[in-house]
Amino acid sequence: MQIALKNDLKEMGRLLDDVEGWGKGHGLSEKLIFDLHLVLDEIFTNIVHYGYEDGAEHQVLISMELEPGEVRVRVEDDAREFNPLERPDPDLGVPLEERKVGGLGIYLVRQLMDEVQYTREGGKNVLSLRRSTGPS
Amino acid sequence: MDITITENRRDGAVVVGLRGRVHGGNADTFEERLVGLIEAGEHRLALDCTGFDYVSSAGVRAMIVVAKKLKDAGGKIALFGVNQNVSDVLDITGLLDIFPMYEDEDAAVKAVR
Repeated sequence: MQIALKNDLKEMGRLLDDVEGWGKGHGLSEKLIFDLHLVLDEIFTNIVHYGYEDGAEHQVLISMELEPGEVRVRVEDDAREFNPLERPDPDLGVPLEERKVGGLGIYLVRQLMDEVQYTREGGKNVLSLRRSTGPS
Repeated sequence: MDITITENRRDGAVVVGLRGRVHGGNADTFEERLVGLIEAGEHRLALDCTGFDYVSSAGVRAMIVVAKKLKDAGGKIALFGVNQNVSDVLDITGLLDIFPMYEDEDAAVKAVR
């Protein structure tokens, strides 16, 4: 499956509907579909919020493939160079008063996927992710 | 692809019904609604999550803001009817202690009295 989205959060509905349709069509578990939803929501939201400063329309390309035993996801955008994996994990053990609200999105992505890699290719940010389809 | 929020007052608490999804596109609305309740003086909140089937980090961030405001106001919050997927997200983000979960509305309302 490949989908091209504008850098606008209004596109989120279309993204999540397509992920759900693709996942159900391939017989993925409800839990796995939920997790893929969440991962792509987080990544797409970050790109839209932080990636662009020119106010122009850009495209974000998301592709998903089912290989034997795993789902592979690729997200490509032409936003400014940004490696989300370089951000430190949020501190989840502190009392509520000290809890910061940032850093949770990528943390969730890294917890839910088995592998996440970032590369910068030809002026684009590329995130490659994998998740086993077996029991977690 | 959105969130519907309802309010029902009982026993000194507000049962806030959440149906749908909270994600990057509507977390602000979700947060504003709950913060609005707190600022209007409602400090005992029981969140009905039976129809709440998705939350992303934007929703979690909003929940943290709400929890902080409630704590500052000396209030309490409880959840009930939480599905496993949403519970997993709250678990991963370290929020299970901040959002205690109960088996039904009566138990949640009692817990925030």
